[in-house]
Amino acid sequence: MRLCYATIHAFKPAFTQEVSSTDIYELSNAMANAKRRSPWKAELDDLMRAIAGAFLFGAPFLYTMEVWWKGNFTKPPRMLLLLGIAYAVLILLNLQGGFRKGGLKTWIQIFTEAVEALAIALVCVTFSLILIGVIRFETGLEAIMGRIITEALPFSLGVGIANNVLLAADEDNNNSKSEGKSESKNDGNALVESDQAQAVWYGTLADAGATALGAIIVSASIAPTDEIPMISSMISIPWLLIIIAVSLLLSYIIVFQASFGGQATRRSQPGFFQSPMSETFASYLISLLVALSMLWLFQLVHVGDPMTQWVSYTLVLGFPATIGGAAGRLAL
Amino acid sequence: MTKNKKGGSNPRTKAERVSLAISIALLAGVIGIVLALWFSSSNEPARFHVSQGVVRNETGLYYLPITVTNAGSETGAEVTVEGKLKKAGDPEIASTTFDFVPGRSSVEGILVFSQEPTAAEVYVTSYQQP
Repeated sequence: MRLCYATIHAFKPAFTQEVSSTDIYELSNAMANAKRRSPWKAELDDLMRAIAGAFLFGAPFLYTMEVWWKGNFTKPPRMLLLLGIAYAVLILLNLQGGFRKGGLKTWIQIFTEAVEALAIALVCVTFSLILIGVIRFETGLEAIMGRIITEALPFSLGVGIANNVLLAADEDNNNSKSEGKSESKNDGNALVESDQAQAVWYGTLADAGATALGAIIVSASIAPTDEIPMISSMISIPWLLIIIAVSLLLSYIIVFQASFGGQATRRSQPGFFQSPMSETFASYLISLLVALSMLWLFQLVHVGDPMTQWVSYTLVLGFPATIGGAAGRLAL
Repeated sequence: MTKNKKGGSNPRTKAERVSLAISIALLAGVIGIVLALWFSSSNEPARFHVSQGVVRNETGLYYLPITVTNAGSETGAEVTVEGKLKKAGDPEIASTTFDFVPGRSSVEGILVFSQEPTAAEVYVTSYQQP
């Protein structure tokens, strides 16, 4: 849906003069159908939704050292049990949701989707643990597998509830949006320019506030813990650049690639946050600011501490904070 | 529930089949590694070797890098390493503690001495079973 809405926004000034909103809506549906026909794009969207779900639910567990520690002495039979539990839970979740778009599923689809969900969770966890320096070359294979599999359980749950929680909200928003459309059609060109300018400011502030709130909720619970100094000490300065890149990418994936709740509504509201790139960068900066404030508030950084400490702590906490910020913009 | 209620299930697209194949391969790999670990595990208790790196002199203090390797399969927790440097009078002792040293893995640390510690004796003094 991203492409068609973006296209409509680009041509909006010309269209509003000559084409009714109903025509635009039909055009957007036609374009959405055309997009749906591309199986590779549809598959990519499904996978991105799964990744987004995994991180939304799994991020707080990723910054919990006790979860890594349990992985240090998890024996292979228990690892298989954990994988089995994750698979069984995913099957139950797939009965009502999962991460793939679509209606009712056959049993085979339910079982195979659970296999994919588990694989996605394992990949996301492996990648994240390498990113925050918890998995290294010198870590023994058994400890690596223990850490990955222990951490994969909450990530799998996130993949399993991706549709249940967020796609349902998206449909609600679409419905309310189409109702709103018919009302606005009657209003005609009632919206004068000053109102539009006001709406742009309002939309921007609403999105910025939602980002800040989401980032506060996540970072306030992580900032006071020892994980931030611990992870910062485990990674090098150049590695921080990779954390920045991954934070931006995840923020983008969560809001613009996955068809999560509230997207359609959000794109229909004006403001600085409606361009994908500007939104991603602006929300990352807001999340970093929130992370920095939380670190200072909980006295993990003080005036006089070295700049590298300020920067690395903020970027390390900024990773889950920006995931929270993206979730906040969708939820509020 | 074995049939789609819409009347016949949609065949999987090529993209979905590719995802499924990759997922099965990944999951099979993970399960294969875990099974291999299971069958090769001997429940050996933790056994530690400590190796010393190159000493670094910083403003009159000597930094001795150490690598603790657990050759057993059990994890050791609170692994305490002590370095003893014999000299005239009482020997100089430096120590450090590692939270965890998992089986068949290694961790690194530094012991600090006031004299050149190349000849120091470094060993594990205690650990806990997690």
